[in-house]
Amino acid sequence: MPPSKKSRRKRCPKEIDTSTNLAALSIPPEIFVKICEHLRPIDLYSLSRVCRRYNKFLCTKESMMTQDMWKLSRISFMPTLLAPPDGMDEYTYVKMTLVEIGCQFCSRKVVPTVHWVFRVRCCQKCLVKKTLRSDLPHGSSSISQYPKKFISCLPSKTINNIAYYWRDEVESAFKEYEKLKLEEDVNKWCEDRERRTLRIIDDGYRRELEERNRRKNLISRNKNNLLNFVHELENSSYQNHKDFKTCPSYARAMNSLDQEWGQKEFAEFETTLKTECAELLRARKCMRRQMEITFMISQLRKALLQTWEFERAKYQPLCPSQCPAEPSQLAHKEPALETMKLLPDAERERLTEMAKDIIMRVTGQPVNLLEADDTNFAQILVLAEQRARCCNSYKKPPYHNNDPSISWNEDFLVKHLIPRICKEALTVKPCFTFQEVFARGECPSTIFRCRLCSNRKFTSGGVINHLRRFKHRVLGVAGDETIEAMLMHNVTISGHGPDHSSIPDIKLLTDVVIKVDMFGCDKLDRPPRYQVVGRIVDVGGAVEKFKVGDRVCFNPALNSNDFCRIPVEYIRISYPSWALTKLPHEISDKEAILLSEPLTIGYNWVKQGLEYLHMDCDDAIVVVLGCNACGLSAVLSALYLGVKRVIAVDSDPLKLEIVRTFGEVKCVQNESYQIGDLIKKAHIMIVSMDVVWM
Amino acid sequence: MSASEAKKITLKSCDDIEFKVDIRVASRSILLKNMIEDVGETDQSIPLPNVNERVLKKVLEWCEHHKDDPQPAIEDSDTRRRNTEIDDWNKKFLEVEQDMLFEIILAANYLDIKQLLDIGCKTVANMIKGKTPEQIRETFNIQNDFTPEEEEQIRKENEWAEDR
Repeated sequence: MPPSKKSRRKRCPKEIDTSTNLAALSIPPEIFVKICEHLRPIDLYSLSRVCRRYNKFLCTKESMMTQDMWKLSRISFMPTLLAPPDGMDEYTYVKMTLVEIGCQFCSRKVVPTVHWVFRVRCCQKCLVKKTLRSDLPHGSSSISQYPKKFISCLPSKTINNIAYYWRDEVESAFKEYEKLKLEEDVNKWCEDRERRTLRIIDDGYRRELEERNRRKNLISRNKNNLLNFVHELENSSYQNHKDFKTCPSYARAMNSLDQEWGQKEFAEFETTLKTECAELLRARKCMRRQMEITFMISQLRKALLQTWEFERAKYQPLCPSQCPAEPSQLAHKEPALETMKLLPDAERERLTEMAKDIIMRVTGQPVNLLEADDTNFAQILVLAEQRARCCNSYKKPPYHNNDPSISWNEDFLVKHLIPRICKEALTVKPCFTFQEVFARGECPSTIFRCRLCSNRKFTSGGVINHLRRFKHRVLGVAGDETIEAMLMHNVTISGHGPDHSSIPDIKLLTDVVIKVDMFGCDKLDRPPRYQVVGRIVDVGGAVEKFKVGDRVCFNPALNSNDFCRIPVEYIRISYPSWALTKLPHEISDKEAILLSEPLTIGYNWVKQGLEYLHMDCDDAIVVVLGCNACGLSAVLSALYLGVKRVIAVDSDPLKLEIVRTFGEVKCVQNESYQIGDLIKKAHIMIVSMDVVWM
Repeated sequence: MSASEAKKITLKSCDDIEFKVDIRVASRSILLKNMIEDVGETDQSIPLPNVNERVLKKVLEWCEHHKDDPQPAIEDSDTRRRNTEIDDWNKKFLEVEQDMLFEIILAANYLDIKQLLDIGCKTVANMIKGKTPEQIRETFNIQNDFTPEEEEQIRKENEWAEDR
């Protein structure tokens, strides 16, 4: 009859804390036995040290149940282990053979062997200390102080032709021996002893052999398991398979094969191995990426160089004068030429086209490869690299077949990566860090974006003002966290005036040609600047944003250096996507003319002022000194933004008349006494150019 | 056979909750099987004084899932013991609180359901495997009740042993 749970509880040791799990402690012995059936001897040993109850179950030497538990576990899990020697209980036996690893006497944790003849586990040093030896003629450690007959019937262990006798055993035996008076008794005692000794030595020999074998088996089994384990890990893992075996924990594991490797050990091994491997992989990845990038650059150079060489070679016979064929030069160009020739025609064509395209992107001009000389080609290469650096595929290069374990090869680079980069290079907006741009002296041709707010674009000064003074009040602003530089490469604007007879050609794929419909001037005697409205008459192949017939005006963010100085009829612009703004139908040419300069400027003055002051439109006082085109725009913008108090000042009553038509604006015909007060009151003061100060 | 399949018997847990169970399901328990064979079919409920409702429900869930398994042959006890793998369903089934786990084991022992007892014991054994005594205490929330002298004795005995 199975005992009820209740009755079991009474058996529990009395001083148990209430938090103690009764269920685990109160299991009836038969179930404890059943659980132990599934445990290795070594686990039983751990279990025996958990608490008194378990200790009693497992360490009662007289109990058959206890002995059976150990025996069962030993037979199930370690079938090769011999039964314990006569008179030794299972617990002690397991402890001696499986648990202990140190010397019983000096506790040194070297791996000592069990000397079964003496039934001790000890190191060589202690063995020598605790034994008498046969090789010494006399002295306290010599066995020769005892009678030969007596010695011959004692168990000994021979190591390197020296017989060792356990000192304590010899001494106690000799006490017995000395008591014997009669020759007969002596003989009998010796016979008995001899028989026993033989048995012990034989048994000891078997055991030591078994232990050696077990150790050997364990090592080979562990090694197999370990190799299989790592192999499986390699197969299941996506990562480079060589890495596992280079990990330090792998080497450590290989050095500790003589210990039992259970699930727990393997789990731990796997975790450390994976961590180490990931670490290693990261380091390798960094290294490889560096190498790959260098390689890629060299390949890119090679592709360009080959194209160049090929082009030149192709036309060489036709125009010998242009390309003086010096023998030395030809010699070093030969290999590249040969490689080019080996490529299939389509491939070569593609490569050539590609290289030409890159060069055109880079330099902004179609390069006649025939004309380019070495120095200028080197420059092209440098530029090409710079441009390539801005491409996504360059910054985060793709993996070969999306598998990071496959290294790049030339095939992959030439057929996939470089074409991809070239393709991206056509459309990429080069993006550098602020410092880079600054260092390169390219600030004027660069548009900057503030990273802190929306995608507003600025000039170099504008963005710093924006960050430091207006919007964000950041102290150190030149950081890449706050500013994004968008290099607007090679915005070239060329005018083709009435003196040029024909419409200019499209030179680059990114070009557009505009026919100027109307332009505005600041002053009548000045050439037109930004104020241009026109119609697109021709577009390059890579222009997506505009098509022929679109009405456009210039973007005021353009640098004034870019503008044509003479009245023109046609304008060709490269990279128009940010230089031009497309106009909707409902805006007339006359209105549009104002869009490009005065209105945008006036609007920004007011808007930025309000931003800087963090003021509501209700509270702000905007004073506009001088009502020229920009001033009028500012007044309009202020009203549009909802500013309640706008004061316009001008000396010309006609202009003030115009202002009055805008709405609720206080108009002041400027006289010195008033202006001083106004300046004191004003939150935002806009000073236009044509105010005449007296 | 088909006639007896539909037959049901009623089991009553120690807290007086009754369960109507297919005979085939109940027969997973050797105790119940023998009882049914001895008594014959009966409408009376069979009281199970050692099993409460919660545990009985869980045990019957196991029996229901395993009702079509062949009765365990007298296995080679050696292979059974060494095979510590537990299949997924059983593993999931035994993902319960420790108290529950031990109660299921006790109930399986009482009802004589060999396989359930076996996997229960295996589960507990797996919780013990490869752990140090201190870890085992933590796992099962067992108080170390050795007196300092005993502790010292054990420590002394194991002075040269591995830190286990």
